[in-house]
Amino acid sequence: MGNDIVSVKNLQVWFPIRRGFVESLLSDEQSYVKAVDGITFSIKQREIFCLVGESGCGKTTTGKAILRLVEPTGGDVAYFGPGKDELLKEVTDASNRKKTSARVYVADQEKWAEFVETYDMADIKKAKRVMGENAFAGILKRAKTKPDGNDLNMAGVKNDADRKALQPFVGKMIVDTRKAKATIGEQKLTEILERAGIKPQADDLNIASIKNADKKTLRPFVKKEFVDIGRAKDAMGEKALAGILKRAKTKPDGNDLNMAGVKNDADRKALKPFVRRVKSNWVLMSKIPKDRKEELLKAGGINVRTLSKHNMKAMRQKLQIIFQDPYESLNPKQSIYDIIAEPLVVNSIGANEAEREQKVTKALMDAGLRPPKNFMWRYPHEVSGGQRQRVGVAGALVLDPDFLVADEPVSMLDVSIRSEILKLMLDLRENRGLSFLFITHDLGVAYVFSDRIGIMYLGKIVELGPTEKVIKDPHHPYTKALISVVPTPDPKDRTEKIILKGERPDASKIPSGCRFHPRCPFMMDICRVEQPSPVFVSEGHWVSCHLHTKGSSAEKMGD
Amino acid sequence: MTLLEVKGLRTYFKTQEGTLKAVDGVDFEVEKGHAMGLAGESGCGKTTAALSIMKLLPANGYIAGGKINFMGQDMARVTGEKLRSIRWRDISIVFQGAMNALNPVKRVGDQISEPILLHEDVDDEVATKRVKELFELVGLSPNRIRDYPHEFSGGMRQRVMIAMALACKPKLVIADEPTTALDVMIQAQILQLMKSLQKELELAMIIISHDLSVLAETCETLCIMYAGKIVERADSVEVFRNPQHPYTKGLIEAFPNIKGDKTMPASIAGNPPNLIIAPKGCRFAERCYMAKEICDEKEPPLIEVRPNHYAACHFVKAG
Ligand SMILES: Nc1ncnc2c1ncn2[C@@H]1O[C@H](COP(=O)(O)OP(=O)(O)OP(=O)(O)O)[C@@H](O)[C@H]1O
Ligand SMILES: Nc1ncnc2c1ncn2[C@@H]1O[C@H](COP(=O)(O)OP(=O)(O)O)[C@@H](O)[C@H]1O
Ligand code: SF4
Ligand code: SF4
Ligand SMILES: [Mg+2]
Ligand SMILES: [Mg+2]
Repeated sequence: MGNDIVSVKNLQVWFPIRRGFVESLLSDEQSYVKAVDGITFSIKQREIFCLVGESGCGKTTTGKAILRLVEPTGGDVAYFGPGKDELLKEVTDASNRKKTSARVYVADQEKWAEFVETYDMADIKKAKRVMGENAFAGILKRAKTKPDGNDLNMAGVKNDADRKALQPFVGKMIVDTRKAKATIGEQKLTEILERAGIKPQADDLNIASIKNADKKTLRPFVKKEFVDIGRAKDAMGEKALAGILKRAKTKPDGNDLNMAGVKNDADRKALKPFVRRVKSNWVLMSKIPKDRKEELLKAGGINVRTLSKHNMKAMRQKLQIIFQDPYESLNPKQSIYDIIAEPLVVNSIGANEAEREQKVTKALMDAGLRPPKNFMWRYPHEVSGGQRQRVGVAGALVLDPDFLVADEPVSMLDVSIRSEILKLMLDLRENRGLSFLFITHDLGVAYVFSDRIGIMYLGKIVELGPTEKVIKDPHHPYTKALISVVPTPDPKDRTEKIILKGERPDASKIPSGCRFHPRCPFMMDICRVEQPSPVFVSEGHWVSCHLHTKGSSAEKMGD
Repeated sequence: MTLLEVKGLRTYFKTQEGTLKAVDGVDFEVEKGHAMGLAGESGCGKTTAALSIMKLLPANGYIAGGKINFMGQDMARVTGEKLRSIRWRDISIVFQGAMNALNPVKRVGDQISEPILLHEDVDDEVATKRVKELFELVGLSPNRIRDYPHEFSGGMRQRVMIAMALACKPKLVIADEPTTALDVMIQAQILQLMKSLQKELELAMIIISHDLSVLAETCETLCIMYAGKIVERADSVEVFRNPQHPYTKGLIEAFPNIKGDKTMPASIAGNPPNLIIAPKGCRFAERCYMAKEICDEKEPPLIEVRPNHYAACHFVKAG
């Protein structure tokens, strides 16, 4: 198998939880459904990579985020597949015209070492061990609660009484105007702004100077607010404020502390021994000497996340999705021809109807609906469930993509025809060189069909590896449980089931430490506080669980 | 003890194109305290058979022949008061997809107490107490009887449906595709619950599913249906150890086996026949790899291959 076609790094998708007006007055903190919360994987050309996990763990959201059908909150998605070179050239030309520098994704950090952007990370565990919990807590406190000079970010203040005490000193209130626009309408927003005589900065708007009713209207869209510490101190006294600050201590992300947040010079110095410089995978075009530009463009990937609308349109043709439910995703009022031709019309592909019909015919052929004439003019309810799923496949194929996200394409189908659809996809890989992100909650299907598997739990990948290794030699307790509950028809193959208690977990209330700990049969003390990092198992096989962390007490006990 | 005996059941639908023979001569028995699985592709008549037993067919459907003997009563013939006294009280059903059909504006507990108040001479207080017990029984917190359906997840709603089916302490519960819309972990929880209820309450169950592996784990006996007919019937272990009918063999092979080698399972090419003009010979002939001339000519009878193991194929031998 060859090079990567799609590479996903630290991808995050957070959905803000919508709140009622009263709720938003009671609490200022925006909470999120962290559907996808920092996942990393790559898919090779002609590979079938499978994401497995319970309902609601973020599989569909991951697939959609890669295609930017939902906007990622953080992380990178890079594309290296066919057609990349032309697109990358277009992107860099466009940024040249605007006198900005394009960012290019490089997989090989070492080779481009002198050019990649870097940032600093402090190793929290090490820092704590050496300098002591208290000293470190102090730094965290200073780092997280005073990010903007004299301002305190209220998001960090969780204690209700503290919030109330600080309320009079809230100065800046930054509103997300895009969200406000989407909800209350552009006209209304413009009116408010005119009344207040202010202009938003980019997409943000400081509403501190806006009055009464208008302020209430905009309140739900506030994303950050800061407290003027100087004023607060004068008014409430230093001691009271210090108490608040102490309680406001926020948690760092995982085991690394991003040094960008640590502004205090003394603290920076204290942490210095534990800092490692981390290389990103991004290179600024402007930093590259002329003679290496060609080479970079060849080796580099497209940053799908930052593509403009115009370029994204071209990108979409290469990345397609087959939706989860063939019964819901096809419009019953459209003929199969219209359904499949729609993306062609939307993307203005095909000079005339005859040309489009040719493309539709080919897509139907490739999806195994033969002869196409027999199917084209029927309506979705006039074909069987399996054929309907093939219509979904044809719809994704008509733009001639290179990468397909297949979201539970066989879950709604009878067992007897599942393999037909799976084989169709194998044929597409063979004949068209397609690569797949295959999404399913059925480990049995994942096992026979995929090359590699990523096991997802609450927005994270907890185990990743070649399919045979993950299924035959699972390391994560969650993987083991999932495998144990796959029904086995033959009584002689039956093993004991590990049935996890409780309903599927809630992505808006993610547990501390290892997010699986409330349901884990092997939970240890450390699991409640510390998030496990990925541990190497064997070539290409990784697991994130403290049972397998080197030198952990569990390992010493001989798991 | 045989609780339910179905013999030669035929259930037809009147449609514009003609009479659709959804169930066309079906025999099976359910023992007290036993679970029977009914498996087969979508459209083969599983739900129709279940609705026939309950006498809950849609307006255009009717029982065209056969007997449904439930504890000495022929359900195919009982009507009126007699039928009402059996339905829900002695036999109840968890409808296919019903967990999504709960009334969204009514408290979950009230939806369960409704059949209790309707069928039994009890007051509100007794009914509420029963609802709480039922919640406990199906693993839901009794504190939540005043919640609305949207406050429950899919798995919890399916538990509510099971509680509802158990409300009048029936002897037989029919569950139509009880786990089809749920994911694997919740499916395992629901199956575990059904199994324990079966033991605890000595319930007889008919579990309907297109997923043979689910049935194999939960049922003592299995019926494989194809195009309105039963093509194989035996106890579950026997069906998997020693399948006789080519369709059963095909179904078993269609399952990916996570405990076995990493190979793509086979599929059964083609579609089931039109049930309005059913083929003259074996209904499976068009898709059968073993079909010979005789298969298009003559319909194979269901014969006893071994004690209590029946199959309908010209090429199985009576043992
Ligand atoms: N547009 C949205 N707004 C808010 N929350 C969302 C949105 N889309 C998804 N979520 C939430 O994100 C989480 C992950 O959803 P996702 O659809 O990715 O799950 P999934 O793994 O595909 O599950 P399934 O197996 O049920 O399809 C869930 O908690 C879901 O409720
Ligand atoms: N109300 C109805 N009117 C006409 N045909 C029906 C009706 N209900 C079911 N059928 C037909 O009867 C056959 C068996 O259906 P059903 O019992 O629902 O199958 P299963 O439950 O096995 O999927 C199918 O061909 C179906 O289309
Ligand atoms: S880290 Fe701890 S809680 Fe998490 S899976 Fe491993 S043992 Fe279980
Ligand atoms: S009777 Fe003939 S067609 Fe039918 S299952 Fe047997 S061999 Fe196949
Ligand atoms: Mg999904
Ligand atoms: Mg049905």
